[in-house]
Amino acid sequence: MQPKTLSAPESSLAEFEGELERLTPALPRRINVDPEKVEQGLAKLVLTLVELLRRLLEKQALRRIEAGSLTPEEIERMGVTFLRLEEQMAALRAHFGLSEEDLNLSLGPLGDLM
Amino acid sequence: MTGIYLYGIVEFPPELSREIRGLGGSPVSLVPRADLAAVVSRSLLNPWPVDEAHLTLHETVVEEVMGDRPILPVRFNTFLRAKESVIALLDERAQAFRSALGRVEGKVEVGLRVLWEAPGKSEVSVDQETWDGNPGTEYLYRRLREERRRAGIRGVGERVIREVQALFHSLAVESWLQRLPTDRLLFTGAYLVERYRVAAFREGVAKAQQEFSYLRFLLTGPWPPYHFVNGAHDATEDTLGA
Repeated sequence: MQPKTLSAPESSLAEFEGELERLTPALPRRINVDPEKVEQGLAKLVLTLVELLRRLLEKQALRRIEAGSLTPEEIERMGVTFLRLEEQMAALRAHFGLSEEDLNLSLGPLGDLM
Repeated sequence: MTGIYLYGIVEFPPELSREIRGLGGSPVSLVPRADLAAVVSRSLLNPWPVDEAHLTLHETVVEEVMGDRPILPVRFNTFLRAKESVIALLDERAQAFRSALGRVEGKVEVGLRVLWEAPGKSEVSVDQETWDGNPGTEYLYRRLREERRRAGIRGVGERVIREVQALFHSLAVESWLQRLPTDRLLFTGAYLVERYRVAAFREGVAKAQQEFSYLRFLLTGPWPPYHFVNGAHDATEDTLGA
């Protein structure tokens, strides 16, 4: 294979490497069948989907705040719900040894979930 | 169980002009069908480890073949059960393969990645909302401020991307772009470039680096046209039913 670097700033190559590692897709292409890790793999899949829904609902709430269609009481009630949901998600992530970035999801041309 | 490992699709004839060794040291050969052929080698039907040595070997085979003629590269670890499956694939997708081969003939892919420093909080204007101290309200308004700040950064990023992209319009036939995939990466792009224009593209990047001194450019290639064969061989994924 021919060398592939056509042009690069010498000082920044390490920075590029760091960013490219972050681009690695979060979701595994196959569920890990290692008995030690299968639970974590499934938890990652399920929690990623839950996080996607949580973020979508939260965005919807923010749009409604911006549009001025919520009363202060409704904002407080929804905010407390989202706050608790976030705390629950953090606890579940910790339980399964997952970080916030582990639940990121590549949405193809739309970019990443988070 | 052994089967067929697929590297790419090419026009046929001619035969391969030299001996090429593929994954596992197996000889690479062509499975011809009418005016098309699949570039293959025998392999166990187990995925090869995704590491530098194996990925490099797959890439080397594709590039060896690409030296002689256009190729539609196939993703790493693509298997078919038997020669009959390869022929069925060539029959089913013949028109799409021919069309894609015409699209990439005489061209290569170059990759461009650009780093930037996203604007800091002070550079993106965000209205300071107030809340009444209730935790739920405080939480949602905090999220709203973050959303607005991110939208501001995206807006600045999109403007810079447009300005940089304008420099490469005339140098590439087609381009594929992923915008702001991480905080530091402004964009990662793939460009389909006429072979003889790769040097000109490289000069274009040098010019861009001068014009946008606050950005960092990484140009790689030439690559097989991985980003410009979309749809041509999607069917290979399901051949093993896995």
